[in-house]
Amino acid sequence: MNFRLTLPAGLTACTHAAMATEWVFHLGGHDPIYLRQAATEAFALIDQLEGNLSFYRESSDVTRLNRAARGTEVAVSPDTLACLALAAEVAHLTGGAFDAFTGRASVAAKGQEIPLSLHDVPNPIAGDQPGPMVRLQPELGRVHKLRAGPWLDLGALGKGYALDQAAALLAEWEITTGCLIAGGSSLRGLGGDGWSLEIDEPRSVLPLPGKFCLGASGFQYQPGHIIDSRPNFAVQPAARALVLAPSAALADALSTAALLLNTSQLTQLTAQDPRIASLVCTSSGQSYRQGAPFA
Amino acid sequence: MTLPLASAPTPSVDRREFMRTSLLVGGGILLGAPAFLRAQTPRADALQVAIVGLGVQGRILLDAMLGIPGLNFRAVCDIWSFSRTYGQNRLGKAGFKVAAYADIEDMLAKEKSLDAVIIATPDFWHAPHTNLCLKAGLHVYCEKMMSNTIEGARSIVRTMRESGKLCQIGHQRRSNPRYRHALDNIIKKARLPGRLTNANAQWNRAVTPDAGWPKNAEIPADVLKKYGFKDMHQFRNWRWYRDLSGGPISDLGAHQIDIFNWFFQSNPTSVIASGGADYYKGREWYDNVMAIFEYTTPEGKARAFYQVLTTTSAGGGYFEQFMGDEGSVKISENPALTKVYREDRAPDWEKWVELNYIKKSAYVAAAPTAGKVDVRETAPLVAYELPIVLDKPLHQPHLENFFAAIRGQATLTCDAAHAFASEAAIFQVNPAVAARSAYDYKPSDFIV
Repeated sequence: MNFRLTLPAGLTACTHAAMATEWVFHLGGHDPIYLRQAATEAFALIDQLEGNLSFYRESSDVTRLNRAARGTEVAVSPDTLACLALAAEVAHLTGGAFDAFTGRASVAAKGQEIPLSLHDVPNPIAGDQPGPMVRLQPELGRVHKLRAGPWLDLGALGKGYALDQAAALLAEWEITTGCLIAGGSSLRGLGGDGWSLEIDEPRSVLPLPGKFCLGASGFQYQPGHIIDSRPNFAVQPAARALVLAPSAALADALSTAALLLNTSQLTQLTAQDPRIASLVCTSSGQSYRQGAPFA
Repeated sequence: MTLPLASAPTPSVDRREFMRTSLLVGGGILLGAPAFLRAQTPRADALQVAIVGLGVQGRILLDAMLGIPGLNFRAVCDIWSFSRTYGQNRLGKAGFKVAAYADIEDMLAKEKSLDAVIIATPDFWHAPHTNLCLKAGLHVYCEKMMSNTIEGARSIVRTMRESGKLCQIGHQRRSNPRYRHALDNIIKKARLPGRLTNANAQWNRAVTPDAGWPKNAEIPADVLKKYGFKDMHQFRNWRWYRDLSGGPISDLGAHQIDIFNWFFQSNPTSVIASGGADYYKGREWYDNVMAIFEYTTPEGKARAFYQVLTTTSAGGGYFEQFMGDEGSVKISENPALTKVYREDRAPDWEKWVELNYIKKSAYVAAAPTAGKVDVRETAPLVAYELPIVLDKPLHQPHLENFFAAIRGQATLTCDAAHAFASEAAIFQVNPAVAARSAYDYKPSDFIV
C-alpha cells in the first residue's frame, strides 16, 4: 500500500539536507524571496536542533547522555528535555512499543558502525537491574542518568520535533500556507486548502485539513531498524504505518510504535484522542484503519 | 486518558505538563516530580551573566552556556525585540527569569550585580560594547573578530589592561580538547608530522539568500539609525557591508587563520591574496578569497593556504591540515573530518597508538608472522584518528575556560592580547586583495 500527498498549486519548494535526509518545505501566501528567506531561517533552526538531538553527533545532548556514567547528572537543552518527555509519554501510551533507548540494538540491526564517540562507552554493567534509564529534571535543565547500557536514539521523534519547531518559526513569519516534509515520512501542514492524501489498494482519496501532522514508518529503506524491546512480545512488525496526530513529533513517534501494535492496541490508542488515527498495512497486504479521519 | 500533548502542537516541557505526567514511567524515562521541588536556585557563588546580542552567534553561545553549572543569567540585550523575546523565552525554559534591554548602557545602569557579559553583537559594535563593559568593571567574553578595524581591536587590548578585567575572545578552537591534543601532544610532544612545512585550510559554504525578517517584526527606522544601520536589510545582513564587518575572510577565516598562527607558533611574515565580490549582487564584501601566508617558524619556512568560498559547499566541511615531512594532521570541529596520516619515511607510530595519542581506524593488519606473507584481498592503508571526544557544544569549553578564569581556576586560552596578535594577520588580507600585491607584516603589527 502506498500513500501520496497531493499538493495545492503555486507553492514555492525549498530544500535542505539535515538529519541524514532531505527536507522539503512547500510554502505559499507570500512572495518566493520572502518564503525562501523564512525557510533558510527554519533550516538553520533544524541544523541547530540536529546538533542537540542527533545520535551520531559527537557534541549532541544525546551523545553526552549515552556517554554519561550511571548516577551522573547531564545538562541538556530544553529541546532534548521536551523530546524525552514526549518519548516517555508515547512509551506509556503504547505499552512500551515505542522505546527511545534502542540505539545500541538499532545500530546492530542496521549493520551500522558504532559512532566513534561511543567506541569507549562500556557495555551494560553485569548485574545491573532493569528499571528507568533516566530521570528528567526540567527545572534544572538536567537529566539524571540512572542506569547505563541501552543508548538513547530519539530517531523519528527528534525529526518530528524539529518539524514542529520549524512550523512555529514559520508562524512567526506569518506563513500559514504550506506543508513541511522531512524525508517523506514526517509531514506538517501549515494551513491552506487543497491538501489530500491518496491511498492505493483500494484507491481512495482522503481530504486533509489545512493543519495536519502525518508520520509514516516502514521498512522500505531501513530494514530492521524498528526494535521491539518489550519483554515477552513476539509481534511480526507491520510493513507500513501512517499516523495522523496533533503534532509531527507525536505522529512520528506513534507511527514507529504502530508497526508493533496489534489491532486492539491500535484501537485503544486512537480512542484516546479523536485527532489520532492510524492506517497500518501488513506484509501480506492487509490493512487496518483506526480513528475517525481514516475511517 | 487524553494524550498529554494532544493540545500542544509544538511540544514543550513546562511545570504544568510535568505536573500532569509526574511520576510516570515510560520507555525507561522517569518524569520526576522531585524536579519541581528543587526549583532553579542559583548557587551562592553563581556568576551573574548578561548576554548582549542574540542573533545567530548569541543564540549558539546561550545554548552552550546552559550546560555550564554556576551561572545565573540576569539580562539579555538586543536592539531587536524579536531577538530579545527569543532570549527571554529560551532562558525561561531553562529556569531563568531575565530582564530584557534594547540598549546596553541602559542595561549596565540598571543591572548592578553583573559579573560578566557575553558580547555577540555585529563586529563593528564589538569594541565599543566590550570597552564599555570592561570600563564598568565587568569581565567580557567577546565574539571574534574583535572589531572591524585594527584600531578597534587595539582599543580592546588597551582597555583590558587598564581595567584589569578578563577579556576572552571567541576563537573557541583554542579551548577545544581535540585541537589542544593535536598541538600539545601530536605536533609538539610526539612530533608525528615531523617538520611542518605547509598548511591548508578551508571553509566553503553553499549559496545562501540574503537574510530576511518577519514582516511584522521590523525595527523602527529611528532605532536602526541610532545603532548604525541604514535599514533593516543592512541590520540583518551586516556581514556583507564594509563599514560593519570584514566579510567572509574575517567571519569564517578568522577561526582558521588563527589556528595557522597558533599551531605554527609564530606570526606570518607576509600574505598574498586574491578574491572578489563576483557572484552576489549588492553584497559589498568579497564572496570568495584565497590567501597564502608565509611563516618563519622555529623549524624554518612554512606556507599556509587558506580558502573561503560562499558560492559552493564543494562537498561541505571546514578543516585545517598541517603537513610535515613525516605526517599530516587534518583537524576540524567535526570529528569525521579529523585524521592523521603517516608518511612512509616516518618512524613507526605503534608507540603512540599504545599511549593512546592516536587510534588506528579503517584497517588493522594482522600481526606479521616471520617468513610468511598474508595473501588476500587488497588491504587499505592504515589511517589514524585522534581519540578525543568533545561531547558538549563546540563553544562550551571556551566559555568554561572564561568562567573558570573569572573564578581564578584557569588562565584564559585566548585573551584579547593573544587574539589581537592573531587577528592582526587577518586584518591585512582584504587590503592585500584590493592592492593585488603582497603585504609584508611588520613586528609592530602584532603588538599593542
